[in-house]
Amino acid sequence: MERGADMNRGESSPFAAGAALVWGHQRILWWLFVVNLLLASWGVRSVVQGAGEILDHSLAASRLVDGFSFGVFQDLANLPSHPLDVTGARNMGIIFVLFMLLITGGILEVYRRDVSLSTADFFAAGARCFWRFLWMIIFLLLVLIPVALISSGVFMLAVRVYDKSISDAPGLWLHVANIAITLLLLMVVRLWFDMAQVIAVVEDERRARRALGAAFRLLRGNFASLFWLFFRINFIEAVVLFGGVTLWVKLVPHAAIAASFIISQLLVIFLLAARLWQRAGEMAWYEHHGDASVTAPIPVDDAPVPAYVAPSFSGDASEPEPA
Amino acid sequence: MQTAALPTPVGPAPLSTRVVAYSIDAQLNPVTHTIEGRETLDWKNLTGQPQQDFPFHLYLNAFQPTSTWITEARLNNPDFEWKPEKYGSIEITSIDAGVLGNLKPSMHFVQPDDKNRDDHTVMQIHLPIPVPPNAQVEFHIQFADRLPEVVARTGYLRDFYMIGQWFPKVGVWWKGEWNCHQFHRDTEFFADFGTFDVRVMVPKNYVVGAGGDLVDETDNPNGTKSLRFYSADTHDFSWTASPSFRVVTDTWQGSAGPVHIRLLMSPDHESSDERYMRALKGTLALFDKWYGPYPYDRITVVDPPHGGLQAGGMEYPTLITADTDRLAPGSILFPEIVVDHEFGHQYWYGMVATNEFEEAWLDEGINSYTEVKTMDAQYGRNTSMINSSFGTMSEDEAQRMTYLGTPDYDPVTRFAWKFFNGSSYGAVTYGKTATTLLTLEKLVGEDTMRRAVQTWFLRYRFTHPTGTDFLKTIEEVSGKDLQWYFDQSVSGTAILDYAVEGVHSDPVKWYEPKPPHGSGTIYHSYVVIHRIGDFVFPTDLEVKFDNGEVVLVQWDSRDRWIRYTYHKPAKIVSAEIDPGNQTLLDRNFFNNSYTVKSDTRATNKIAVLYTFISECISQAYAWLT
Repeated sequence: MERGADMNRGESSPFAAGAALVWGHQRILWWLFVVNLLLASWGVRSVVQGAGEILDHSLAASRLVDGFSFGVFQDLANLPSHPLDVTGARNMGIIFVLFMLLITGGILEVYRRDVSLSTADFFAAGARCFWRFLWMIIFLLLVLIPVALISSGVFMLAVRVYDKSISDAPGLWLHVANIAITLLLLMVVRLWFDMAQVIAVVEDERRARRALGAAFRLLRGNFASLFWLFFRINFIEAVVLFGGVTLWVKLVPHAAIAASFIISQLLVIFLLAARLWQRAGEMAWYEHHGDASVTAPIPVDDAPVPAYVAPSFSGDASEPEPA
Repeated sequence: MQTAALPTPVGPAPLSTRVVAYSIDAQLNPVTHTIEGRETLDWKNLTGQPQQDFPFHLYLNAFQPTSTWITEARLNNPDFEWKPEKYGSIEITSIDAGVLGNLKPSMHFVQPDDKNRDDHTVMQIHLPIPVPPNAQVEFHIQFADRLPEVVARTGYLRDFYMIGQWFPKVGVWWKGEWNCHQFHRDTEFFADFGTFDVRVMVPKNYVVGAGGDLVDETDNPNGTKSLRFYSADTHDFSWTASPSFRVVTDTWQGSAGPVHIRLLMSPDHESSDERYMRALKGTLALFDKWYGPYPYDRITVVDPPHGGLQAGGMEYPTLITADTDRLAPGSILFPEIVVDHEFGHQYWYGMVATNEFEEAWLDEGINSYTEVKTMDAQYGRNTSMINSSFGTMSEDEAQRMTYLGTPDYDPVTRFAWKFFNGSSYGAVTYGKTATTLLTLEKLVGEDTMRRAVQTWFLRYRFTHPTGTDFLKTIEEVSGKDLQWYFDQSVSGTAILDYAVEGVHSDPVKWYEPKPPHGSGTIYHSYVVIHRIGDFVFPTDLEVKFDNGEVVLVQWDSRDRWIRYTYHKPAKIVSAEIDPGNQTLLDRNFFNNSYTVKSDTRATNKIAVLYTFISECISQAYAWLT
């Protein structure tokens, strides 16, 4: 079924079109949220159980309710039974990664076609991309190595400057700049791999390396518009997260646990929505610009005829690979 | 080098028995990070017997790879890194005693604590003839210091100098023998009271602070300046210098007269001026009011530069070092705590000059206790360490947490260098002593404890008392025999832990098909208390019933457990041990009470928080996909 989100995608900005796609296919968001919440709840169940055995019948627990005493919390954490051990939560995080790996293809397919897929089609689309996206994670980890090296190199430099300077300002600012640059680099890398995933879905490009190469060229040729799309959403996400946490900490009374739960989950939903917004915006962008940007040959004087014409957006896997 | 051209300043009547009189000329070379020094020491023989052998501290020799200090540091942490910049030394280039002649040939290093022959932190000399009782000997010593990059609260960092433990300092004749320990990882101090007349020469642009009154300052033609400081009734002298210091001054009026406050602030720490000053004045006022007058007319707070943590949080007579950061959040009162704690040492170490090597708890522990009291009074009972919108933490919680980190390896009374490790030393010396004294308030009352500590100060200031003196003072002031408590908490390692093991209300006519519940029904109710730990401490139990009745009982705790039985027309709602939460030594507060009705709010709150964090972490992981 066509959704309201398809709305003149060619005319609205990818930013707005992405938001409309997320809104129009809310079911994805809600399912993601439910899975995120269930896995997290499952992961912390041992913590809740362990804490409950100690706190539920103890008057000492009141200092965690009417306020939050770090001392009482630390006492709880230090008990020999280690009731606040979070190993389970970490494991659930890994399961969530696998889950996302499985469904990202389906999500992108929904945003590409702007229709509701049946559950079977949705997971089939996700499964189709599972291995290529897994390869992309491996490539991503490789790409992150130089980013980490650059970041740690600048970090060491900042430490050195910090140690040598009478004022701590140069070192601190270098640290801040390093963090900012690292974040920007991470955004660029993520954007690159996002676009590779879009290409892998739209063009049904099975080889991760080819998708990444095409995405790299696409990003190089359209960096400003793509990065602005990606960055804006991250910026909004950061502002909302900061505002939400501030609101939670400063305005929600300590004993208002239901209110805390609601505001925390609203934040979680927004974080998920922001990521989907980026995905949908990237897809909308590609649908509008991708054909010309990614596949158009570089014009050369003595080659008036394009060597390769992009396949259609139908992404028919049966089409032959370009020569 | 400038010689002592000025007459020795004359102060008011002595407050202490002045055994030593040091006159020192020191010249700092900021290029080589060295000090050339010349010292004259007048030592009065008040030992009641002839003295011919004299030990001296040479503590800068601790910063050498084979020293006891480094050996202990590596024992405590095998990853402890050594680098050449951390090398420090003090070399005696000449030593004589006037007509008694050159003493250098008799000079040799001794290792009274661990027989580590590579440790050169204590040297001993032998006079050709003994110094008779009540006579005086004058030593002339020339020495050369090589300062380490700041470590263990002494040395340099960029243009900053913290000069402590830097001159040859004679040992203390105590309990019928010389007491002059090697420099150990966790302790530093024990010395006799006296006077210090110290002249330091530094580059002209340097700002200097010292543990004495500035009595003269002159510019020299060679681009340096000389400053002369005088201090009396103190047992050590330290100084600091940096061209980057910003000076903030103020005056506080105490019961013994005005006290000139001088903050030597490092660059970028402007935001801490007010925090330091408020904490210092507040602490001065409370010590003055609660324990006794601060008799000196000065206190200097040195704010080490960034990266200078090794110089921070240290006490010397009338000079302390603090610690802060440009980004120090206002809700975490760490700068205030450091100032409060280090100032407290002016009383517990500075004036009540106990032996830190052998009884570190008497300065660090008592000081941690008074830190809790003064911080609570200034910043609030539950917010004296962290006071943020998210949560709070009190000083006593922090001390208790320190204690519970390594609670039972060592007794409080152990010699400092003989503790299991640094964690145990910190946990027991600071945390356990403070927690022990806070728990003692339950037995004797807060006011009595305050009077006891005040008596301890007024009676033993400017002397070298012992732990026995302290404990006897508490017993005397409180009028109670507390030996049983001190045996367990001070001399022992037993853990205190009580639990409400079971609470149950049963209708008397339980056998009836439908046991009657409600008004008029008589219940047998039981509460069982279990003493889990070996520490025996009388405890009180508060039992609440659903008709509003509250029963308070006391248990001497000698047995391992006790069952209380009630026969009432009401069921038990809750049972709580130590309802006032005063037994801070109790290892586990959660098992001190039991409510029949479950209250899941705290658990739910933790669940909300952990679920949110877990969801966010999952999403962060998923960034990879």
